[in-house]
Amino acid sequence: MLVVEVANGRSLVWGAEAVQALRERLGVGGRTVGALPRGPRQNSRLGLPLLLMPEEARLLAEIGAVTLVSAPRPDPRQHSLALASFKRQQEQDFQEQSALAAEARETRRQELLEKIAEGQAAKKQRLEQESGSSGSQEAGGSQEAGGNQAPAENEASASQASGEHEEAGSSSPQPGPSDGVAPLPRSALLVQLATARPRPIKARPLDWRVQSKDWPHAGRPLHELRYSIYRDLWERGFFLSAAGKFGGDFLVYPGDPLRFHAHYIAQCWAPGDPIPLQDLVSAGRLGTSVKKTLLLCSPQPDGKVVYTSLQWASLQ
Amino acid sequence: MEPEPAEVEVPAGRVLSARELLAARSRSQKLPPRSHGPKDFLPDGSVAQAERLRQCREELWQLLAEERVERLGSLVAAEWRPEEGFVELKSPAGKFWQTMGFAEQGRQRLHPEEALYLLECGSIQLFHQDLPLSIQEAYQLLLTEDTMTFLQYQVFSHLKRLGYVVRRFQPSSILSPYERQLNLDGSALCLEDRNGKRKRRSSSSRSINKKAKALENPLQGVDETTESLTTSSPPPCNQNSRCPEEKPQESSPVKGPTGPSLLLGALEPWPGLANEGGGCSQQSGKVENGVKGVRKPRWNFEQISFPNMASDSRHTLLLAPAPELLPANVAGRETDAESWCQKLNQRKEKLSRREREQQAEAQRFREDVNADPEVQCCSSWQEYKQLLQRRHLQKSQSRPAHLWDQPVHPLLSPGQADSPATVLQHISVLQTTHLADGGT
Repeated sequence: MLVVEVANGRSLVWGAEAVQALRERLGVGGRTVGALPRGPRQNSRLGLPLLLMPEEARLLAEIGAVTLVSAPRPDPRQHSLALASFKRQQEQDFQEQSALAAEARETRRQELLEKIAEGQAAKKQRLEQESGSSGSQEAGGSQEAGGNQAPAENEASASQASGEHEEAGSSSPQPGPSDGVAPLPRSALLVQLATARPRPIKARPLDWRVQSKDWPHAGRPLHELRYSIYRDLWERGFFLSAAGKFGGDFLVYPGDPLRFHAHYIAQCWAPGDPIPLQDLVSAGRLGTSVKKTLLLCSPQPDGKVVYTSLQWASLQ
Repeated sequence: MEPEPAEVEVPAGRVLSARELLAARSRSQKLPPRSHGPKDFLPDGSVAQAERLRQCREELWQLLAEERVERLGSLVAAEWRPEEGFVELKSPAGKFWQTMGFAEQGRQRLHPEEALYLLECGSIQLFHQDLPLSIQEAYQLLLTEDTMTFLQYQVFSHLKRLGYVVRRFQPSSILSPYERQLNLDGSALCLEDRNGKRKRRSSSSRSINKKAKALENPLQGVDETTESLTTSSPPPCNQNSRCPEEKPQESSPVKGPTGPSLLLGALEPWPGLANEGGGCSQQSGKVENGVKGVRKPRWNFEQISFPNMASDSRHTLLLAPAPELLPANVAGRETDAESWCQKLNQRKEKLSRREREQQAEAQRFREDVNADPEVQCCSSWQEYKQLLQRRHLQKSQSRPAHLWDQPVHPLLSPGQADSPATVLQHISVLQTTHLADGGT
């Protein structure tokens, strides 16, 4: 059962699995609004949190796929416990990471051993070919120098592996004695900046039928209007997303927006509302210029929704 | 409205194990291309389409599921202060300090939106009551209705990701329409947008030709240059060097003023500019139709960056002067005086408590001649001399003429009075009263 937190009328989804489930199983996309961890300084692809439109959140709650809760405040009573467990966790992490780093170093050295052995053999051969005993003395000296180099490095990150390979290639480190290496320095500890809350928390469920501070949409005519149209289109199998860019209420896709272009720009009008001609004309022109059909939607009193599509035909 | 009793458990987000943390370091840093081929028109249930969709989706989930992993040593520790509404840095700031944050009482601080943006970028670790905050908790705590709303933060982060330097808006820096009408101080204020955002200046290698244009029409030129002088304000070093981390906007709509703004570097070595400035201010005085009176100075000296070797606002890159200003056989060149800075002892003097108190005492009674508003009105040395002369005259004219300028007459000559009472009576110091006479 997915849980979505709502605060000030905004529903945010913070878990990637939840986002996946919503999109794949339920056809509700939402919009990512946060920075993407891999590239936080670009705007073309954004990351978590996912912002759901109020209509999307309400639909999910209505069909029972999701529980809406009011965004919970951290409990001050739990704070000291949380702090203690965090410190413990960090210590544990540190130990584990040191162990893993040492392990990684060991395995790397083992891997390189064969290469080193090969390299040494080749070198020896070459030196013996060139000159006699003086060559083997030099090889012995370089081995010792290499052995001192290997324990000196402390870096735990795997990105150092390439650098190490170069070092191993140039000098020939011996399989060093049981490390005697310096432990992982505190500053090299890898830390996760959690996206979602790392601890479970209790929250109060939100009733979307009732107006509250966190859900001000209940009962508002505009919201009801948009929702009825959203629901109807969703039930017909379309994928909907916000259409602020195109001057409409929704963009209607025949399938997932990742692979399909939108076909319609849906504009919601209350039945009986007069539509100013200017709005019609501007909406029509906009639709034409982006190659989408304008869809005027109106829910009827009997519950059905009536659609009118507009296409600009130039009389020339 | 009573709270519902049933409590729903919100599951925790993903916490990476140590192994996963190490593995995260070796993941690719490049963003994969968005779609696999052009988009299709209609879903036709084909396997190929489904496969492409699956691939796109996989990529998306993978990207979204990645967690931020950073080395503890590269994170700046910061603490959120809810009562005060800002974030205080606990360890020294990194490169972001050049464009974000503010310093108060010697401590480095960040606004909530800046802190949140840096947290999302993975540059800082935000603590609240000693617990590090996740991004979700930070959004909840820092983005409230009274500090910064979610919508404002979205705008801020969008602009920052585009590469702009975004700062809080100061309403006092904008001229009112009336002031603008009077052209009271058309030059000394900045070109900031309504939203207080200021574009990053791109490279300082723009053409030297623009300087020549400015010389040809001095009035216009001075207006532009004085505008530009102010737009080059903090920090001046950014104008002369390009910070590679922020992407500068090349095709900027602010291109007009930006061009001459780079004249700043060249203006400093020009000796004759002060006269030019004085001359032009007189011209603009005429433009104002003789509206004289208390006028703010044309030059905002706090924002003109003179070469400065001190540590407060280091400005050591001196651009070459315009060749047309130099004599024929003299070549000007650009220097960077940074190497000299290293030879100076830049360490702050550590005064003992007593010395500090003494300094404070001395400062208290010292008057700064520049703090005098009348002196600030003077826009040239000539005017200042006139002011001094006026003051001198005033001082010398403060003696009343009837007391000081007439020949001295004694109030009483020795033969006129014979007793102290009559003397006093005569010079009217005291009126004699005769208490013995019935007391009326």
